[in-house]
Amino acid sequence: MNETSQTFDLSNWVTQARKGLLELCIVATLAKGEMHAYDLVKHLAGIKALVITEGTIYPLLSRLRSAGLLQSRLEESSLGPVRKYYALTDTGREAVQLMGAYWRELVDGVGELVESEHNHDELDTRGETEP
Amino acid sequence: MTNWTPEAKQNLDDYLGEIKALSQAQGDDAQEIVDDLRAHITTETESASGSVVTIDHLRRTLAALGSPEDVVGGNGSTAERVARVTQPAPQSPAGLAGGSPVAQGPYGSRARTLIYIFALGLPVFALGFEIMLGAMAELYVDPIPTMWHVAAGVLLLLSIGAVDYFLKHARDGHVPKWAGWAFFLNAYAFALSLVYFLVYIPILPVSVIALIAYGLGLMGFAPMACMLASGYQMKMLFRFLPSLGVERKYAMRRTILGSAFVALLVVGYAGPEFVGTRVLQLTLSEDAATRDRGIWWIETLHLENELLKACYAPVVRGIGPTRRWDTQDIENLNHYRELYFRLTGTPYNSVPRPNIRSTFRTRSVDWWEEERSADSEVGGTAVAGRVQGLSLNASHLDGKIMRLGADATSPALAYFEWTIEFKNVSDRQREARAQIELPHGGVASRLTLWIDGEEREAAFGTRQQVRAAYQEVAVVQRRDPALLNVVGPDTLLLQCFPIQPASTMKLKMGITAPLVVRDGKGYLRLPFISERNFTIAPEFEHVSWVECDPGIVASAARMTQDTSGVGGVALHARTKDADLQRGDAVIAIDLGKPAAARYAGQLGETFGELTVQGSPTPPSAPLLCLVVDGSRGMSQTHADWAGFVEALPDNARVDAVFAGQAVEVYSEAPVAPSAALAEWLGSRDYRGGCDPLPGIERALDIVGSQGGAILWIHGPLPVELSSVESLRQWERWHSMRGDADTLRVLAVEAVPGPNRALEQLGQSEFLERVPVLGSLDETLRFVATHLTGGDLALEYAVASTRLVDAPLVEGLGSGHLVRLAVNDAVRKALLSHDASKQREAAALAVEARLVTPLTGAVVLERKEQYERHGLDPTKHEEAIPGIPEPEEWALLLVVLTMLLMVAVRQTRARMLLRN
Repeated sequence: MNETSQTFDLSNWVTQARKGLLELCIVATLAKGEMHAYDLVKHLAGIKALVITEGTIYPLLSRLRSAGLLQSRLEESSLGPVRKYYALTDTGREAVQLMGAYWRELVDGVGELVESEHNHDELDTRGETEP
Repeated sequence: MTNWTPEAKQNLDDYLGEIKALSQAQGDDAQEIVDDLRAHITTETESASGSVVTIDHLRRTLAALGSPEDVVGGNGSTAERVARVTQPAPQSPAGLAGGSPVAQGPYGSRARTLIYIFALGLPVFALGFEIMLGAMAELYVDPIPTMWHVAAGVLLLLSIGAVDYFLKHARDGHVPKWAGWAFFLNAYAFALSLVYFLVYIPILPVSVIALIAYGLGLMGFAPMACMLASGYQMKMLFRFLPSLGVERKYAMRRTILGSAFVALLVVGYAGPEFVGTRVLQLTLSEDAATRDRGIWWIETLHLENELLKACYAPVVRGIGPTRRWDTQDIENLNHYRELYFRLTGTPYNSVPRPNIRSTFRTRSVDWWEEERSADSEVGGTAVAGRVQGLSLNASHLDGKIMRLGADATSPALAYFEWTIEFKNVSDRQREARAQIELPHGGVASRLTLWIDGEEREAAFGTRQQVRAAYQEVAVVQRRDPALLNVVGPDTLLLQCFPIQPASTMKLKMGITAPLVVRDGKGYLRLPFISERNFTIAPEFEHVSWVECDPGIVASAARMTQDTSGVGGVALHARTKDADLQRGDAVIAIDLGKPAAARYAGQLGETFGELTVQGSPTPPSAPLLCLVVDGSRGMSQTHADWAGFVEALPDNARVDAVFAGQAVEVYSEAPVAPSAALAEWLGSRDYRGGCDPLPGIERALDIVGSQGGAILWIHGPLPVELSSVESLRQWERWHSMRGDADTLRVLAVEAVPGPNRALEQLGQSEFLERVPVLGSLDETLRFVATHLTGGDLALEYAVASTRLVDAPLVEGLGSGHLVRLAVNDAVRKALLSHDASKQREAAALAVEARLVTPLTGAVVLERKEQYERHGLDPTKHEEAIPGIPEPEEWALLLVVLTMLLMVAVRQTRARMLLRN
């Protein structure tokens, strides 16, 4: 295990894997409907496996809006500052479809590979330990 | 309604400001991101807090959001996130809630590499190179003139290194606990490098040229590199601020503190110099009120040391290499030297030279001094300031006291040979200059210089001849000459140049002197150095050995008596220089009451005669007016005025003038001596350095018309504060009236040192120096009892010498008698103001090989150098004196005694064997 840690840069792999994943999460969440930015951030930050800090999401929202995938509107609030709501544009909805299809394909393909590798490892382990 | 504390508000603004800057850099819609984040933070924080949002509430929110780099970078700080998944996150000791790490990125490896190379490596290399080789100091200016600069520079580099360590760890999420110190050190590094950068601006173009031409001059760029590096580090520190656990206000305070520390260093180091320079410049003003204001400031702020520095070099110490660019006119040196005396009452060259040199490299400073100040004084007629690295290495005084006649009351003469060795430990050629005070009535009769281990005799010529020869050989050719001239009554100026770096130079002076007769005793005070441009270590001792002719009963309070020699007594001592100046080495011999007699001597073809006149008649009208020098140094003499007044005869009339900052007169007309006079003299205020001439003029007005003596009790007067011309006018008037017998100015040197007024007055029929043989009080009492109504006039005047065509008495004595007679002839010729008599006297002095007011001695290296100036060291060789060897009969006696002792012992041995 130690040897693996020395030769394999896990952090680098996670960085590569996460690229684009957050954008997918945002558009996928908003596909369910318009959402207050604050709630959206809290929702995504709650997904532990994503390992994100809340602040990270705002620049992504801004970038996606600039790319035409999202639109926003402001609403006055009697409790605090003006509330900002994000929703998907038509382009955004198309993008969600495409991104979702690709994601499923990716998960299926890669999942199969990972699963078979895992089973193989388990068999090897059993073989070594049996008398 | 929720209120935010100002701290929290400020912190939020800082945080969002950072994010805005980073977002803009990435091309994002920065305003939108900031607005969204502000709304998020507000919602989150206000919901978690009560009615007041504090910095702690905010920190919790920000910890969840991440650092600005984290937010904008998005994918940044991955390592930490992975670490958080696999292991617990390290907690920030600085108190950032949640222990949120600081992002990587801004203080990256590229920036750090540049800092290491240019802000640490370059200065360390340049500093080390300069300390080792002094290349820049040698070529141009000294960039590290003092140890303080080196210390400040090292601390600067350490600060940059420490802040780098801090930032590196903060970036990696391990914020060190000393955030406050990081801000302080960073501010110190930035402010100090900014100061150096500003100071180095003038030499940056030269550094560029030196770098291109020689590959040197990196030192010039070091402050700039350090300034840029510490400026960048400062930016990073403030960027990381939200994550460091310190408030902005706190960081600002530390930054201001670091900058203030540098300001304090600069003001503390360069402030006195800066103020001193401005104050000194005030004293140069043509406006009297401004000048007085400058002097007042010097006294008030005690800037005497700054003034002393200004006496030496046309440079002032600055905060960097431009120190030598702040020049003054060379002419101002004399102004400051005069001012130093006026304020302190001490000659500037009587105290150790101030430290105005570099710590590591001295050559450039020395070069500057040589070029700008010292050179103007080499070969000159003034002793001037102390030079670095030159000291007195050895001093041996060998003397012989000789009787002129066989009887016990016959007068005696002394001849000394004073061997002096100078040592130069500097890396420049040096000239040694000194004023030598001779025994009263003495004359220099020999000068030799060791050249290549060989002792060379001097040539004697007129003053002009020998000075011209010295100037040419010493200053122009830089060969080995030595020069001896008279500069005042009983005062010589000795010069030798060049004393090579790390070497010594040895010379010897021969001095013939009469003994001063007082109350049946003959006194001889050993010669001493009264002004010098070299150092004499406090522990240095002059070694003296004086032999006496058989029959002479000699003693000296602080010398050891040795009677083991053949016939006479020998006195010897090791005397500290200060003690020698104070008159500790005074030899007394018993003479008895002087009887009228004549003694003759021969030197070559010249005959001299010494006549003892017996007791002269006392002055008919004993009138005495004291002129007391009011300079500060005189207060150290603690004169016993009551004892002096008591010693005055009752019928004397007396007055006193105090030549202080203003002339004060005891009484408008002379009065009988009283305790009130002593009290008045004892209560005077001795301040600064004073001009004695106005006081003497006032005393002459009091005494002049009635006849009497002026007793001028003085200390050093190293500068000409006023012209002696008014005294000359007075002298001419009374000389015409034939008042010389009834008017006398008696100068008593209470504190040894150079006296320009005495030098200027030179030979005067009215002026006479009273030798101080022992304490000042003894001398004053002697004058009180002997001049104004006692049995004798000043007793030492009873014996006089003169030249004669043929010996008038039988039996010829020492040639030294003739030397004194020739010296006396020169004095008379000068007083006659007759040019032909002076020429004649000068020729006689050259023949007798004497240093007189008309003639001097010079040693040159080569024959052709002598020839070019019409000098011949071998001329009149028969007149070269020497310490007389024991008489032949005495040696024979010693040998016979030894033979007799051997014979007696052998006889005894034989007898014992037989028995």
